[in-house]
Amino acid sequence: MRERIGSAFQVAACVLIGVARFGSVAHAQSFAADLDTVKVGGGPKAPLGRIYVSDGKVRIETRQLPDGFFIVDADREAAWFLRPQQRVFMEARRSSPLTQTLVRVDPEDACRQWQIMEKAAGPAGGDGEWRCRLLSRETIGGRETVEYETISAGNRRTSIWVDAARHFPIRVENEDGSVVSVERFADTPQPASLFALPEGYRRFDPAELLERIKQSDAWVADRPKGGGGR
Amino acid sequence: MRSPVGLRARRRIATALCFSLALSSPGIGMSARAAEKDGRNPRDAAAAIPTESPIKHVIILIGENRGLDHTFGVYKPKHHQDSISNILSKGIVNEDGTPGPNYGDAQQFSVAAQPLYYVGAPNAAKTPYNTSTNLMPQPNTNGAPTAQSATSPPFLPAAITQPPFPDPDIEPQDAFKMTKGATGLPRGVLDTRVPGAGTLPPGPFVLQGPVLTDDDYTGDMTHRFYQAWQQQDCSIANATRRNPTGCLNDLFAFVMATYSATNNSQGNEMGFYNAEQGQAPLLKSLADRFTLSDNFHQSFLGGTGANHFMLGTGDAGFWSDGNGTPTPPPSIANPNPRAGTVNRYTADNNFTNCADPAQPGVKPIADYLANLPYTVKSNPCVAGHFYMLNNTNPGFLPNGARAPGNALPPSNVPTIGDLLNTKNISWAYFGGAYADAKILADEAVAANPTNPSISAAAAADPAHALGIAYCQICNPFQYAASIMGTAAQRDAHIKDTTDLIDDIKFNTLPAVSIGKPDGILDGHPSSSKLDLFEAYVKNVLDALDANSELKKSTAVFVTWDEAGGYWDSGFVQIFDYFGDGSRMPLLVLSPYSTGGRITHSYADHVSLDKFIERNWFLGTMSPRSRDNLPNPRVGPDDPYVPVNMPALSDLFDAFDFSKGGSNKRFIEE
Repeated sequence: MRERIGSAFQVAACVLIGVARFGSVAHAQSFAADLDTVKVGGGPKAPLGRIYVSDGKVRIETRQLPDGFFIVDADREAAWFLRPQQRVFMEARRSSPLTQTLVRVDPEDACRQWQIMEKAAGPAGGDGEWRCRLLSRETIGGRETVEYETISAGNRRTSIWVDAARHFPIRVENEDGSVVSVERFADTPQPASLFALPEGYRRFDPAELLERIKQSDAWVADRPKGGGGR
Repeated sequence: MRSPVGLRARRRIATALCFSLALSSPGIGMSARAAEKDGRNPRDAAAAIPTESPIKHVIILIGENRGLDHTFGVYKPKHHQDSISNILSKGIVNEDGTPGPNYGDAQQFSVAAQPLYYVGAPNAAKTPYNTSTNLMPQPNTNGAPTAQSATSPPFLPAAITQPPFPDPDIEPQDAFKMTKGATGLPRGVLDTRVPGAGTLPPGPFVLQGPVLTDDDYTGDMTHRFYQAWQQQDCSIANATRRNPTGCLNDLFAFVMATYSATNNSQGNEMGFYNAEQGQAPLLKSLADRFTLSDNFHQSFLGGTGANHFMLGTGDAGFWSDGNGTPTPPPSIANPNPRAGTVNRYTADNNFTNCADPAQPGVKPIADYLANLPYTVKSNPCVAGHFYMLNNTNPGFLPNGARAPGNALPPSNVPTIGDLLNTKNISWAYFGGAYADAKILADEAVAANPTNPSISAAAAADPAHALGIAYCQICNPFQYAASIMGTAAQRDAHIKDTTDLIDDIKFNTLPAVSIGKPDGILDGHPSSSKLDLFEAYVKNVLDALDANSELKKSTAVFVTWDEAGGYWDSGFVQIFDYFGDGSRMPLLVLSPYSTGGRITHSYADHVSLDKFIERNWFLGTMSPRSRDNLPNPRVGPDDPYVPVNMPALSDLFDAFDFSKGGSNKRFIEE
């Protein structure tokens, strides 16, 4: 009985600590900001897109996919890509690495949230192991940041700086020197409609498209078992 | 110090690479767009390059798998002085598509079991198909889509006409075509939409009826090398003055029904459209007002990869060590029949050493070639070389990384691109969905550098999943180490269809362009439809109509990679072990090829290379490439059969450069 009471106390304490900790992470946070890039090889910053953040949800608009936008709901461990003109949505999976990184995080334990989003993105092949570690603390542009390093299954390194006050990544630097940075914050409330999955949209999954393409000559199996077929 | 969570993680990701993608260059064509934005008007650089003709730009658009009789079998030339060789003019069918007075000229046969592979069936072993005791295999749905889908064509319309999947390579007004055409039938069953299906007579039948149009998906059929040779049924014993190669084209249905125990192709090869009764309306409109060849052929017997390779090189690819030294491939074809079967191939593989008559399947073809009534001057089979006969992925992925598995090792066979490079003539290959495919390839390599899988990458990246529809084997330059293996060459010459439209729009069109639609729009049976390829062509032609200055000096060739296994009634000239094969339409669109004319000069894919080489004073691709063949000369009574075989047109006679060019629109308003 004593063990049970002790155990229950420990759980309750953990919950309280967790709530307190979460409270510090999940303080009211609503803003919009620009995404800038520096390409491989350096050069001036260039516009990449814009993000909107509210209540743990993130909307990402990038020039790489100008016909749609991403909605990331970290609490639900989900990320979607929407194409309004076609009224279609799909799981983002790995359509953009931004959905796995630009999420609200605990500055002292950011790997945990990235790990969740990494898992939510699903498999993409590769035999390596995703890794993450806290590297250092530094001040960037007057902001206190915590620097992390992630290593992909393909053994590619990425450095990520998390704004300690904002609980949000503000700079992502790849081993090839390319950079994504979050700039020009506007701390204003963001309408809920920016983060809503509209009704009436159809869900797209590439699996059936792949099956259709297999009927065409555009398709030759990656690793054919032998002859046959077209 | 690793995060405990991270240490346990076994997720597969390529975050850094993907970020690099997100940061990569803004894309091909941006310089032109930037120039427009800045108010500059890029000069048409290709216009300054000296040419033999007024043509300063060639655009070759290549669809998938349609034959001449299949598409233009029922077509009447608009120019009153012209004639066409098709199943209507031959009386094989009537104008309404029903059997004509000479229907028997298209009679299909079955063949009794033979001990070895053959390309000319013994006449005594042949039995005519009929409608009772020896029914010709009938058309079936094979792999055609049964119903609309939310995630694959034909799409359920999300709005009135808008498919819920974007394909940027057709115009919005044509998008509704991506929502139509499901069979409404199960896969692999008798296609009851074809009028009379189940009791069709042993010849061609029209793909038109109360519930069947050119806007419907139909079943595909196998189109492979040894099968195609056998279907053509070539024997010198059957040669005549008008058919000196003796190819009878009368085993199309039989071979499909017998070469495999699992093939579902059956009788689809005998289907044809009726252009005189509203089918293929854009293609007919173009033929009515410009020029159509009725003697243009697939250059390689069989399928997509080898035909595109021949287009790009005038030659065949072979297995090698990746540095040009031939080596044995992983598998070798053996079309000899299995014991106890009528015609089931022993090993339907992709490579053959055709210089060795002891190899399976080689001797019957070599013997036939040796007995042709003309010297086969360019028999390209070299000892120790195993040639690529059927679809095999190129040695490079779309991003230039080495391809895994049984892909053809990087090729050193000279290409038309290499030849153009030697004279600094601008050129590009524009592949539909290439930009997405390149991203998928980057992701695939990042995820698994030693064994990258583009299909796995497509499943993981739905936003770029269209990249799976990019046709790797259609790009002959993707095989070439000199092009695809060099970043600068790849970036300069391998582009997306959207870049072709931009180049037309912004006056940056290269001298030579090859355009290939993605697998949704390429017109391939089962996975696409004829009218989707028309929509792709229309998108390009509309862009040209909108740039009249560029259009004045541009020739567009619209053709196909192969006839797709569809039967054709035309004469076939045999050049070498690899071809030719069936006729396909070739539309020649330019200010100098108007009037609804029909050109009859014997031509194939390599004729397109010959046109380029002559127009830009290039010479030939290699001493052994097929472009070394002379232009045909013909006698007074037969414009189809050259008297100087082997001979191959350079297509200059499809134009009239003696007069000023017409300003006729491609697309009628």
